Amino acid sequence: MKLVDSAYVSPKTGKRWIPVIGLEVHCQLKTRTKLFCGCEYTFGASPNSLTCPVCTGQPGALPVLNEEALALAVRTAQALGAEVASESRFDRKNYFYCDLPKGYQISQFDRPYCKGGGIALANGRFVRLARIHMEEDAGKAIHDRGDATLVDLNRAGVPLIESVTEADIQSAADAQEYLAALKEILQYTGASDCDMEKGSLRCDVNISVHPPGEPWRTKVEIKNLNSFRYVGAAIEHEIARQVAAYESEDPSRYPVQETRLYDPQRGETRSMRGKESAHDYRYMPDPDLPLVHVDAAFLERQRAHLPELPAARRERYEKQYGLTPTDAGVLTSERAVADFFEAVVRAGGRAKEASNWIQNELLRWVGDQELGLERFDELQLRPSELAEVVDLVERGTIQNQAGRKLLREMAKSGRPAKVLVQELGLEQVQDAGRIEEWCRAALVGKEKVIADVRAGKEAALNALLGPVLKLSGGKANVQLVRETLKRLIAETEPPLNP
Amino acid sequence: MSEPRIQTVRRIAALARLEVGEEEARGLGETFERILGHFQVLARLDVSALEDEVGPIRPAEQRRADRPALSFPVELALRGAPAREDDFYRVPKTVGGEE
Repeated sequence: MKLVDSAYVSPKTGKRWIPVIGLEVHCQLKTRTKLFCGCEYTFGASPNSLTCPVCTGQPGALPVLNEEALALAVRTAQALGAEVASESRFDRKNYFYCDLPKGYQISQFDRPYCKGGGIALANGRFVRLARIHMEEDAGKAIHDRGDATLVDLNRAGVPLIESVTEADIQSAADAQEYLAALKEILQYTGASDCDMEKGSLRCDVNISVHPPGEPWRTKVEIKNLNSFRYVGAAIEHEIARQVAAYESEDPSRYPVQETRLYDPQRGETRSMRGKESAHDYRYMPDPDLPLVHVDAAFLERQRAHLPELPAARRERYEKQYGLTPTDAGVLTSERAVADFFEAVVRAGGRAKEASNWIQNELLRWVGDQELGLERFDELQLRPSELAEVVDLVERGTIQNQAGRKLLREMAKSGRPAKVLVQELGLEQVQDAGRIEEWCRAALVGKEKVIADVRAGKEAALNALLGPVLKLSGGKANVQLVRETLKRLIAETEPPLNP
Repeated sequence: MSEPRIQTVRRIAALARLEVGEEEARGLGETFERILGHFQVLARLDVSALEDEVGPIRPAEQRRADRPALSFPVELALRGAPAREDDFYRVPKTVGGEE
């Protein structure tokens, strides 16, 4: 796809088209229990083990709002600069489907709990939020088991917030940036773990294209995108599909208002249901639930829970610690990482070094089988321990490479640095005699390197550092090795025909 | 029986995923018409100053703490299931969910 000033340039005609994109993001709130009942929700629990009269819609059962869900929803709204309504209402969204036991979903229709707010993108564009509302999730229907559909109602009633943007997005890249920023905020506020693999964050895209200066055209909805990559790919594909359809000048091919699904295998979208079954949810106020009132004191309590948000943290890291925008961006992209970094600094680690160690080592461990680390916050290493290792390396007690080994061993075994340095024999070797021995061994057969160094190419020396460090088990003092190598090369006789 | 009324019956039947035959639609249409006719009485009132509501009183506002309560044992949960496979409700194949 070619993008110029966010316009799409048709590969066929060279004409410019303006994409108009809005996102609807469903996010699962991180409460212990469901939105209207005390069933505890755990992902992956055995089917239908987490249900009760309320979430399975038994006659006479009455829903009662989970206050923590409201608190998390309100905190998210505050972090996004949205206005929280002093009074909002739950409505019934009626539709029939096997994963919806009551025959309606409790949601908020025309009086959502919050309106406005938004997220600023790096290119200066501001993506406005139309609204955020609370609702309950549906159960899970499994269709790939022969001629039946199997239903698990564990997820039915889990609290969600759905945020809806205005159509302020013009490209796949903007959409992905918006989602990344939203995810950061949801994680920072503690509202959600945003684990897309577990379905905690799901995204629908509304999209249309029109020639510059013309009115907006028919929009198409793409549903249930469960990764940022898919969101990007689906948008790119859909823009190209719609442009090609209009440029065919065959009205029977023009986009119609419909819902499409993205197929990641084929990299394309396909129609899910057509116009004839367009939504008619017959929303009505839910008579079982009181209006939701949020007063100034409640708002104030939630605001007091808000942490410093990612954008503010990035700015502070650049000012306070002199980090580059890129480093500050990496460290703040996840709250657990940023909190860890600051704790290392508080424990005496130097900011720049701590940042390097976190980025070059700790963050690379995520997904490491041996360490059994799936997420950064599962790391079994205390910030003070990293500070200690950084300090050992800074003071020259151990080499950088040994520091890496030590850190990994500490994360694996949970044992203290000092003991492991001894046990693994990681302490740096400064003994000139031993270093000279290793250097002599490394120089054997390296005439070309020797000649290069003699010719003034000091960088050629680097080719010898690796072998020497290997011989020393990573313990030789690099500075001493360099000096020794230079001395030995200078001392050896130059060959007659260099 | 007006044609628009029959179409309303068909539309509602489709939304409710109910199969309704020609004769049945006619019968239901008449019932609809009678019921809705009664509501026409209410339409004479001026309610422009009132908010949409579903009843004269709302339940008093109460909220619960985020504390787990007991869930159904699986056996009890599935007792009312039309059919069962392992620990799932088993229903006729339904592809293409709303949400």
